[in-house]
Amino acid sequence: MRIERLQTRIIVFFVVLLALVQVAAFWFVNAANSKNAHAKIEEELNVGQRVFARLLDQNADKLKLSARVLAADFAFREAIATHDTGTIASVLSNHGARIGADAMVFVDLQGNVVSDTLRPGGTSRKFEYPALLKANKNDATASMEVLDGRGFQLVAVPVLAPLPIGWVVMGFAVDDSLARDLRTLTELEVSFAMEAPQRPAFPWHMLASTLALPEQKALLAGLPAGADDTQRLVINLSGVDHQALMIPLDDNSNARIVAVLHRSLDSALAAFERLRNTLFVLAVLSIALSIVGSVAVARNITRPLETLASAASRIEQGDYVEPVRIERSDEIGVLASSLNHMRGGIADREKRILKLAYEDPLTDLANRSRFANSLEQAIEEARAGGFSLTVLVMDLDRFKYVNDSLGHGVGDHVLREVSARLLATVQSAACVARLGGDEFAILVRHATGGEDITANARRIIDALEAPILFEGQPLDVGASIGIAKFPEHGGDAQTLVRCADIAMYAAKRNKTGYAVYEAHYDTSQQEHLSLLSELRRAVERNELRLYYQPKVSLHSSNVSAVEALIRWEHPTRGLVSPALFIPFAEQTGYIKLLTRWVLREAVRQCGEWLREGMRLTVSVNISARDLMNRDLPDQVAALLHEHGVTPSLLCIEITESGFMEDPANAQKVLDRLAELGVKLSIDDYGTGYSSLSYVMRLPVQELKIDRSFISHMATDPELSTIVRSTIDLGHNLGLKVVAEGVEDLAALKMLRSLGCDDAQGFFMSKPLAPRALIAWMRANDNTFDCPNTATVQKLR
Amino acid sequence: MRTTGGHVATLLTMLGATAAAGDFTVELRDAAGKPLANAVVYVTAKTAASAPAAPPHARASIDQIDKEFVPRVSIVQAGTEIQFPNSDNIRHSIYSFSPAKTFTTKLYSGREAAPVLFDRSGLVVLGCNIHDQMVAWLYVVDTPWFAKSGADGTATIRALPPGDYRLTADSPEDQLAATESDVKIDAAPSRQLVTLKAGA
Amino acid sequence: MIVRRALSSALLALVASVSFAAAPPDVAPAGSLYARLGGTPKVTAFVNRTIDTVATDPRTNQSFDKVSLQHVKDMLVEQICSLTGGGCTYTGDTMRDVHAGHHISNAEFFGLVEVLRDSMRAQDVPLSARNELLEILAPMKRDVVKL
Repeated sequence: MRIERLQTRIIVFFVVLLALVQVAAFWFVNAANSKNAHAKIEEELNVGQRVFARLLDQNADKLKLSARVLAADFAFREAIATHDTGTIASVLSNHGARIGADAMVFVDLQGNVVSDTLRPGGTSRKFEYPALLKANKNDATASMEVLDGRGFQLVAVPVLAPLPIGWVVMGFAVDDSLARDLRTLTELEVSFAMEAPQRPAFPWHMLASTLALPEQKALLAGLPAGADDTQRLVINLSGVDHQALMIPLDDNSNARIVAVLHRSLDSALAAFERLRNTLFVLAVLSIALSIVGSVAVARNITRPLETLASAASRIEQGDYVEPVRIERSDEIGVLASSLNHMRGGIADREKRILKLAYEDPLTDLANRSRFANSLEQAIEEARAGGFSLTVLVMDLDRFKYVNDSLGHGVGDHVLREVSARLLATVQSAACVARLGGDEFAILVRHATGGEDITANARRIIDALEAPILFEGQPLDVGASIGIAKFPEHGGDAQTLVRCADIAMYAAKRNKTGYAVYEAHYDTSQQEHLSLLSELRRAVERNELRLYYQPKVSLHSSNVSAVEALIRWEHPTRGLVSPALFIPFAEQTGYIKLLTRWVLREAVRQCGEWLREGMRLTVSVNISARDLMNRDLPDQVAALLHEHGVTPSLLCIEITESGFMEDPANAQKVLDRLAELGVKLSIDDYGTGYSSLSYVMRLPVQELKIDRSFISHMATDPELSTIVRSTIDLGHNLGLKVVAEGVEDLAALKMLRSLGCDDAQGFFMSKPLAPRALIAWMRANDNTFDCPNTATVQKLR
Repeated sequence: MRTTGGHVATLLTMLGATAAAGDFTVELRDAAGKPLANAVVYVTAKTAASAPAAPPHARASIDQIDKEFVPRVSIVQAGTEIQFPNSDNIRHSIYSFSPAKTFTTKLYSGREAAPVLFDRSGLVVLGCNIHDQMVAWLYVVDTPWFAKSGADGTATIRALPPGDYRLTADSPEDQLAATESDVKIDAAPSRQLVTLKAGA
Repeated sequence: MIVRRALSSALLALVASVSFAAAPPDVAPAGSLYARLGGTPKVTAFVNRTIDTVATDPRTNQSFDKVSLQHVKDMLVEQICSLTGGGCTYTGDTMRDVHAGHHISNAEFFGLVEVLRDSMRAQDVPLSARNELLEILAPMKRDVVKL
């Protein structure tokens, strides 16, 4: 459709253009032609006039010559002198006959006609035109006059013998034959007319003409009266316009003789008409030709364009194989070859894009989307073909550590090496992909269902056993692999990957290397997810509580501090252990909000107790995340101020590993908290990766030994040695040492003997609700005796 | 007392001989008073046969010099032969159509042509066939009493016997009309002014 | 008187007839050189042109001073007509008489001959006829040229 229009457009454009050009040319040429024709007629008339004048002059010259010859003739002169009229007459007529003069007259000096061949005989009369007889001796006069009602071209010559004795007047008649002769030479119609003013009604009288009688009358009717010089006229004769020149010949008071030269405009314009018709035909022909030509040109252009357009649409539809077949050397050929190059370029680029789209640039393995596509396709084929699939998801252990501590260059090398080993190990895999980061996925098809789906996983783990060398340095990288199977574990790609993922996390948690998905893995995951959203709501709905576990001083048995521990009273689940939601909160960053809540509540509670007369230091656990928060000191300050709590009554506990996550920033925050006057405590000491030099620099006041050392220290001498060393270390650093997780009296006693400052644990009390704590405090008078021997007071 | 001489005089007078002829000078003027040269004047006696005839073999000459007649104007008595000497080296073919003498004569170089007798009175206008401008006026008169005026316009007729005459004057070169008048001549020399007016 | 008149009439008639007989014919006799020269019209034309030319050319015109050219032309036509079998009778004088006293030089003579030749050529007179005429006129040189 598009092409058709272009073709039509070309044709229409060219035809219209050419038609316009033709019309314009025709019009201009026609106008010029017409102008030319009229100019030509003008010119013809002018030329005719000049020829006419010349002919008349020639006639006159002939007459003059002959008259002079005659006037010189001796015999003639003698005859005149001797008044021999007979001889005179015969000489005149002979001479006249010789040159064809129609009138020969001899006039004497008095102006009397002596002899006249035109009107011989008759009475003596005067010559009608005495004005003619005025020439001097050597000259002759010529004139156009009327004699006897007919026009004559007259010449008068004096006869000398030796004095003038008279005049010879010779004349050619102005008759139709003269007019016809003149017409032959001038190619104009010639008429001689005489105007006789005596008849004003119809003054003109025709003397001679080349026209037929009726037209003569019409001509005479068209002549203006009384003209003195040459006039241009248009006279209509028999319905045809004639362009005419009216030329006065000799002015005479009696009668005016004029010559009218004219030409019918028709005949003059005939040639012009012919030319115009020819031009018209030419114009029509050329328009027709141009139609044909432009159709041909348009086809010549639009056909290959059609081909190109269809080639382009093929390319658009993704067919990059078929080249455009147009062999021309002109612009269209150039376009076709460009299109071909483009096609090739597009094909190349598509390959590269596909590569980018579906390949992981670092490892050249498939990427996540390709894996997903392959998996989907495999699922369909497996479903149709009745075979099973295995999806393995692999996560490298400790990769983050490698990347952070050794740099991304090493990390990339590790990934590449891992990829290579993967490919080498699972050659039969349908797809090996890097899902991102340090996560990989493998898709394996099984022809039959009974294969050992864990075999691959084992082989991979074995393959990764050997350390990866980087510049000669060995790096140990392990992996956790989760396995999910189609159709057992899921019917679509997303489910299978998720199951494998869950299995992988399970393997990681349990440090089993690989794990096949089991349904129960999922629920906790799912549970966790829903828990998180519920947790959000928990904050809003005040489902969170702070319980406080008292810390007993081993020196004084006083209880002057408590640790605030978060508890969640879920409406349906009941009391939810923090172990179930704190890790999640930490991972998701929700911990910040929880911490804020905890701080607020703890400070508030502390303030409340203070006003009630109970002075208790409240310890609050915060996470490493919270330590990154530079606004934390200000928030704490604001809370303290808000609730009127002395900063030293607040103690902030951070785990050993929490400090170490970002030591520099942690230092800053801790310094500011210390400046506030808030106490700081290292929690779970002994289980994290701290360095002593760092610990020395921290502005902490307290060190809490992790429960793992405390709970069996009574029975394990190694543990008690560690505890003892830790207490010494803490004291040497100037820190107060607190033991967590005291569960029996023996431990308590031992701790006391080792010099530990405070103790905290179920043996003394479990974490209590605020009112319960107060009750316990009152009941124990704010002390807890550490009995030496038998009496054990267990309070609940 | 009548002497013989006196008788002879009377006889002569009776015979018509002039007894005491005087000069008759005519002053020829045009209307403006300008003296007319080359004009002719002649008198014819009113009484018939009182004029003596021209002597036989009277000769006059009209020469052709430099393609002109010289003199252009001449007056002779009838019966005079006119010689045309042709002082030009080239030939002339002179002619006249005048009724008084119609003739043609070829005057060749180096050859003497026969003189032509002019025996009739009248004005003879001479021309040359070869040289159109050549023109001469020859007055042939029946009287011996004639004269041609000089540059001063005076023409003197010598020894004109007294008597009644008819005087004719003409100045052909000036295209003035000839005039005639009666004049009475006596013995003494006399003078007359004749004015010629323009005419055909 | 009557006799005289009759005599003069007869004389005149004779002269007239002689004049007429002398006049160049309207139709040249067939086969004559006069006819081949073009007859009266052409001969008149080239004679006219010749005389007009030599009478105005300073090299040749002094012998035409005051001369009636028409007379010369007429006589020349008559002479040529009579010499070339045109049937005319030449009524003019002999060449010697005509040119006596004119002191025509060779240069003038040849000048006229040249002009005559040119004029004939201008009238498209054929070469042979031209040469024939010139041959006829050539012997006149000794009568014409007299220093």
